Amino acid sequence: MHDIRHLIRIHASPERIYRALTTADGIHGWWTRDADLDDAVGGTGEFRFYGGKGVTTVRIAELDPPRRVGWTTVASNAPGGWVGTTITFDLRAEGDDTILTLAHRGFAEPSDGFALVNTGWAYYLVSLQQYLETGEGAPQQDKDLARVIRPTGERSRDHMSGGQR
Amino acid sequence: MANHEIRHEVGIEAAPAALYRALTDAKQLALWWIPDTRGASAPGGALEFWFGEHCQEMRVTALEPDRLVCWRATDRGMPDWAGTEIEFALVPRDGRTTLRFRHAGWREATGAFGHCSMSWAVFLLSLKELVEVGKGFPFPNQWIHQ
Repeated sequence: MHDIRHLIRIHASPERIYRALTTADGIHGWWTRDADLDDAVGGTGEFRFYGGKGVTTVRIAELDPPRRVGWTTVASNAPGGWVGTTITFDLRAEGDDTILTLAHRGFAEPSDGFALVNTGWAYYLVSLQQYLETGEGAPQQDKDLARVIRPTGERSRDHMSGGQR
Repeated sequence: MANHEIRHEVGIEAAPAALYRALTDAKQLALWWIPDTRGASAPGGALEFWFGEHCQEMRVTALEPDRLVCWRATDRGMPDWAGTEIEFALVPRDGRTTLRFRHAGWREATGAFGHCSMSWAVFLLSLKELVEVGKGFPFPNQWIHQ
C-alpha cells in the first residue's frame, strides 16, 4: 500500500481549520465550490470537480473537534484509484499557528495517478492556507497553479491584468 | 526495508529540452529551487545547494539529455535525505512535457517527509512558472517556509 503525506503550517487556530474541513461552506473556500458535506460521523461528503465529471464520495469516519477529521472513500473516479483509501487531517496547535498533517492512505500502486493526486493535495492545502490567512482560496473552478507559489506582494499586478493566464 | 517515496506529476507547457536545461544548469536551478546553487551537473559530479550555512550535496547519478536527471543525496546534508534518490523524468506529449518526479528511499514517512512532499510540489510549480513564464519562485517560499 502507498500513502500520501503532507505537512503544512497555517497561521490560524485549529478551530477555524476544523470548520474549513467539516462544513460545506468551508470546503467551498479551498477545495471545490461544488460540494456537499454532512456534519456527523456516518454521514457522507460528495465532492464534484470539472463540472460534475469528477466525483468523489466519502463516508465521515471520525470527527474529533478540533483535532482530527477522518474520511473513507466509498466511490470516486479520481486518478490513482481512491476507492477504499482513507483520508485523515490532524491538527496540532503550535503557538499562534496550527500544524496540519494530511495522510491519504491505501493506494494500491504508486502510479502516475497517485503522483498527480499528491501534487494536487499540496496545491489544495496551500489553497486552504491562503483561504484561512487571506480570506481567499483557489478552489476548483478558480484553480490557478501559479497562485499558490506567488508571494502576496506580487498579486496586485495580476489582479490588474485580469488574474489568470 | 521500508522505502517510502514522494511522487509528483506536473504538466508543463514547454519542450523537454527547456526543462532539461532548468534541471542541469546551476544558474537555472537557482531560479526555481535554491538560490545559492553551486557545482556543475555532470555524470558522477556533485551539485551543492546552500540553505544559509547548510549545504545539501547531490551526486549526479544519471543524465539522459531531454529525458532524465537523477541525483543521490550524499551524507553532506540533511540526515533524512542521506542516500535518498531523486529522479526527474521528462515525457514529451504533443509539444508539452509531463514531468514525473520521484524522491525515493525514505526510511520513514513521518517527520520531514510530509513537509518535503509539500515543498517539492511547490518547487515543481515554481519550475513550471520558470519555463512557461520566465520567472520561478525559489526558496524560501512565503507560504510554506515562513
